[in-house]
Amino acid sequence: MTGVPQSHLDALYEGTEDPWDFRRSDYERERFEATLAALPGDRFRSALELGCGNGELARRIAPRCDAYLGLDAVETAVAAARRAVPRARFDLAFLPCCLPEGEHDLVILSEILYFLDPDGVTDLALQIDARWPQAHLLLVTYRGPSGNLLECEAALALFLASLDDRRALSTARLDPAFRIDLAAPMAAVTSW
Amino acid sequence: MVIAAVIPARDEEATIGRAVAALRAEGVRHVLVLANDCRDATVARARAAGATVHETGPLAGGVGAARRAGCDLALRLWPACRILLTTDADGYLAPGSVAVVERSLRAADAVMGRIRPEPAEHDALPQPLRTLGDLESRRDALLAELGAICAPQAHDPQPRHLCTNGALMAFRREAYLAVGGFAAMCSNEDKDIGARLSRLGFRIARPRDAVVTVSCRRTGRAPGGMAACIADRLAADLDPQIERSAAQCRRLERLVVAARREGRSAMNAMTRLLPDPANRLTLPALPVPAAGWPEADRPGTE
Repeated sequence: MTGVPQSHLDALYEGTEDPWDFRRSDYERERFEATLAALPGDRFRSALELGCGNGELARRIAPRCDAYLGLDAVETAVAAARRAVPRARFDLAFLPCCLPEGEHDLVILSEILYFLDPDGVTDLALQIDARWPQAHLLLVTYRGPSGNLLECEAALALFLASLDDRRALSTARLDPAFRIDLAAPMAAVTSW
Repeated sequence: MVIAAVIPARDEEATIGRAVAALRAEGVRHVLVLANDCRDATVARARAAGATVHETGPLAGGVGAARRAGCDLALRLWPACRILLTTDADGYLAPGSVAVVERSLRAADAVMGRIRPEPAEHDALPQPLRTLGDLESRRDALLAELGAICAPQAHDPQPRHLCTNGALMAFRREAYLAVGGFAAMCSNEDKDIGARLSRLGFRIARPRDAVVTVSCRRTGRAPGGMAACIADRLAADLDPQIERSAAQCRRLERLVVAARREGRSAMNAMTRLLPDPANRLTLPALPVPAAGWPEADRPGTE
């Protein structure tokens, strides 16, 4: 595996629980609001967020979900997320891993795929396809240089290219700095 | 610029001579072999091939510790060296690679080389393993090209690759020192320094033409190296994985073709370009052909 190692994810949070300034930056607020606006429905039974960071996105989306489960590799992030959204659940997990049980109808991958390597990205797509074919997938992706092995949109392309043909892909928002893409389950599309 | 090359070695008598000779043939004057507890003819063969050899007893931190010790020593032995290069005792550089490294380091702080499997070994692998390996290489090349198109950077021009491997890395002296060098880890010291360089904002280049040839054991295509993964591969029926990997490549290829033509704006149309053309969800009006779906494109069979 050649994704970003655990020690470097930990280092991002050294001395802070908000390394990307999620809480104060106007850009991040706009990105969160766009993400919220792109949600493919009003209510969700159960959401799974991969790479939840300090819970700033969860804080906005969890009120629209009966259950919310966020995963992150960094203890500081998970602890901050638990404080930010006490009624949601946050677990420590280094991706790719066997994803936790749940009847998820929304899976959120916000700024996470380009921390993985190609096998890791493929693995996540396969697990999600196999276990939650009826879930909506919401993907939020930065469009500048990732600083990691995979560039941001290349990682997104690989993920979308790894899904089976049972989901319809669409782009909900295309900004110069970020993009939001959706993969809708077959059931949702055939009812259009 | 003066280059010093460091090769950590532990009982590599069969291959060390070739590794050193390849560096010398590339014009690298200073080659240091850090002989880590060697009991065979590694030391003699490295010297015969023109290397400076430093022998140590067993190092606790394995290959990371050996690479670190070798780099420390090389920087002390050759204070005029501006470029520190490291490779492995069982690999050998492809001709021209050192020139590519030097050119890349004019704009970048560090260079990662591409690893390529030993051709003779690769050809001898069982066909399914070879097919899967080739598809994965193809996938990585496509992803590297997409990356260069959607995030172009002057210090990392096309064509790029996706390897981060101690079998070939090079650093500007000051960048190596600034990140604190290799960590004394038993494995993944290469991934670790790569991640540290990018986190600290150093510019990394991955030029496709800086190439080192290594045993298939190391590329993840044959038994012995990445043992678990490979044992699985030899035992498993690889057909589903091959079909999946082929589908990934087919789809990524369509996006890459569009991106070559239109540049970055092709990425805007990603969700239209990526699904297989036979996908009935993105083409809802298309009737199912009377003869049925072509085998390879049938929805839900990948």
